[in-house]
Amino acid sequence: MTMIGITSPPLSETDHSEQLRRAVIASTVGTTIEWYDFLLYGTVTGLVFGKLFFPESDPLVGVLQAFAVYSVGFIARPIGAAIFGHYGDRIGRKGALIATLLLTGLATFAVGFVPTYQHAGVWGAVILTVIRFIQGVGVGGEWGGSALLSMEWARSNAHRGFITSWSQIGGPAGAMLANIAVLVFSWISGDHFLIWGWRIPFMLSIIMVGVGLYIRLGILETPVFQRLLVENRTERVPVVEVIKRQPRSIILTALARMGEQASSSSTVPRSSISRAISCSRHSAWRGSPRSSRSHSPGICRIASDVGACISSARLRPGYSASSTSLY
Amino acid sequence: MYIIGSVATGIFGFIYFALLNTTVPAWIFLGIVLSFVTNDLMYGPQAALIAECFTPRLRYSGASVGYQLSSVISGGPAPLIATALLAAFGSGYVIAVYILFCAIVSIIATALLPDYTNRDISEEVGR
Repeated sequence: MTMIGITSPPLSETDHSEQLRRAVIASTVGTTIEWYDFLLYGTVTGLVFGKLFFPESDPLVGVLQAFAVYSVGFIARPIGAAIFGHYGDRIGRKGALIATLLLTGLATFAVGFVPTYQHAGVWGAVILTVIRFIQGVGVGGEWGGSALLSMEWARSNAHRGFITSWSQIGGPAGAMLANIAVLVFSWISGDHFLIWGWRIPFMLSIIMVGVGLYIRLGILETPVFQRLLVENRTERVPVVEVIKRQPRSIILTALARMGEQASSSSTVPRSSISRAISCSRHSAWRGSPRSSRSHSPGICRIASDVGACISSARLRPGYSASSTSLY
Repeated sequence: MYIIGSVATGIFGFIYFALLNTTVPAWIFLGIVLSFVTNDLMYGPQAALIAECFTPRLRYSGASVGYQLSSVISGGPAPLIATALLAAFGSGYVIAVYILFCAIVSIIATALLPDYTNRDISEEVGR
């Protein structure tokens, strides 16, 4: 009984296909939800949070805001990577992915209930900052597991790259959903967007977490990790171990992302630069900084980005490039 | 594949800022849309590229730490650097040079990584 869902007898061809399909869905949908949560916060920051939680009149608030922006990229995400990396290599990919989904999703849901500056003073900003940090930890742990889940179910070595790239679609898809949600509720709530409209997309996150949880609970642990368990080869402190054993790989993979990061991170400047260099009227093409990531089915990416562009262009009023480290 | 993406990204920075400099909205729009394409040539294969580098029992830790570390060393500072460059030189092309530089770093790093394409990833990986 205790082994259910962790170790299972060898699967037939059809069962394996079924599991692969589920794993890819669990990767893609789960990552989409996480990015929805994370990018929704980024999108709403400029539109709402500045007005309701971070008034410029309060100097402490400015510090908090800067902290919220930078700590997420520099501290929270690496912390998330270490925590969930540890458990992902100890107890399994599945467990870690369920944890990251819950952590990010519940934090996002909570945003919908944070009292504004008007009601709670600076505490609203403090709570938001803490929540943002928690989201960063969750997102930091998500990526690795999502990539591994698909990859370790891939049936042949030949199509592993394609299978694994599916998890990357979560970025643009999440961005698109977040932008659509904000767009729809700004239409529905109209003048009341600042009063209640903006809270709904955050509250909706709980439904998405339910869906994601259902999908992720329904998958089996990957064959690769099952084998590690059976052969009793899991590491006691994997994070420390990997830093000791494969430091070169860690540094090289980090450096390998540099070009992509430099080009996609100029998305923040992408709005501010285009504002500076080009005509200000159309500066918000790229409204939500870093709102979109990409994936090999390029059409999806382009469609989502165009969607993001259009929706953020509409939401232009009050927008400011506030989120720097959203990758 | 990833290296092709890096080359495209590195070169495209110049085209991107040239398009922005036209100040014609349609060109700017085109530039931004195209920049996703070159960027995505890198982003798509990234997951497999990074995750394959680590031995199975350390893979979640290694891939996560490597991936997020790049947020610290390049993703986080990039907008700050880009903004500072723009302020200092007043030209977007300087940022394009910076992107090119980062793309070259990527190409070198990728070339130095062992390529696990078509290899069994459930086996132990040495150093």
